[in-house]
Amino acid sequence: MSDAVAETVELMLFEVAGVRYGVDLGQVASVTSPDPSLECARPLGQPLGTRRAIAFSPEPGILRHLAVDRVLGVKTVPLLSLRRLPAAAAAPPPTIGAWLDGEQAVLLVDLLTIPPNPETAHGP
Amino acid sequence: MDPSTLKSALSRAPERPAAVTERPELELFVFTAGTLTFGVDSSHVREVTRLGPVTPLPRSPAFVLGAFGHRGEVLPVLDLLRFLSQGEAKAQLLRTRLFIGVGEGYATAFVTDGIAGLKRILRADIAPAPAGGSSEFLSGVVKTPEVGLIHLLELPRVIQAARQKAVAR
Repeated sequence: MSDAVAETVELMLFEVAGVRYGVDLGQVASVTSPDPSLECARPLGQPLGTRRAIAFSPEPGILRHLAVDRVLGVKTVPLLSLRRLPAAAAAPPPTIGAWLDGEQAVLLVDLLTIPPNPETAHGP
Repeated sequence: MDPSTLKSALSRAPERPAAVTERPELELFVFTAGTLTFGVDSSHVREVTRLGPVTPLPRSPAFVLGAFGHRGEVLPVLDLLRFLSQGEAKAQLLRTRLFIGVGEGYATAFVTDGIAGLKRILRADIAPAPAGGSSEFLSGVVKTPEVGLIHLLELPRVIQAARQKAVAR
């Protein structure tokens, strides 16, 4: 067997306000209908339609929804096509880098760093 | 002459004439942004390319138009006019050209409204930049018969300040 197996990662691609993003599929619990009571903050901007939500679990027993316009599917990409963002383009969390899809930089998001929605978050 | 004076002078003397270490000419890469014409030391310009698909960055400063992939590298795309508080670029897909500048080891793409190309000027013709406004990023101005007044931009300083503003926000 060849050792030259390219290492890959599975990205779930989605769109918010016309911008394409990617997230590690391992962080995604499910794709579901939006539930406002579970919705997290919207650090990627306001979705235009909010037709779907990506459910994720930042810690055991807690589920949050990231509202998105649409889910584009899952793509397996080589780790070699991932890039850190240069400092002048370094968007604050949850943006952690980019996947280069040809000339298009697809921003990568760490779902686990998205805070709860301050309007729907319950106290401790 | 006191021998110690000679030794002292020799210890401070340059190895070659100053005219050799600093060339009297400067090669500028000249471009326009809005109504202004800028020139940067051509050694800080890597290449010129067309505006491709730019990915907007959430919560980034207004002068950062986004990021784009170029030859396997993710580059920030900056609007120089917004950075200098001189208006904003009128970027149009396919028609707008970018130049990729390098400073302090970092590459950054800048939107232009037009590119005039390379131009040689005499360093002696450089006049001080007018005070105020964005003068901290200008090393001077020079008047040429072909393109008029050229604002000499300290590109490494711009790139460094843009990085600092983006990170510190």
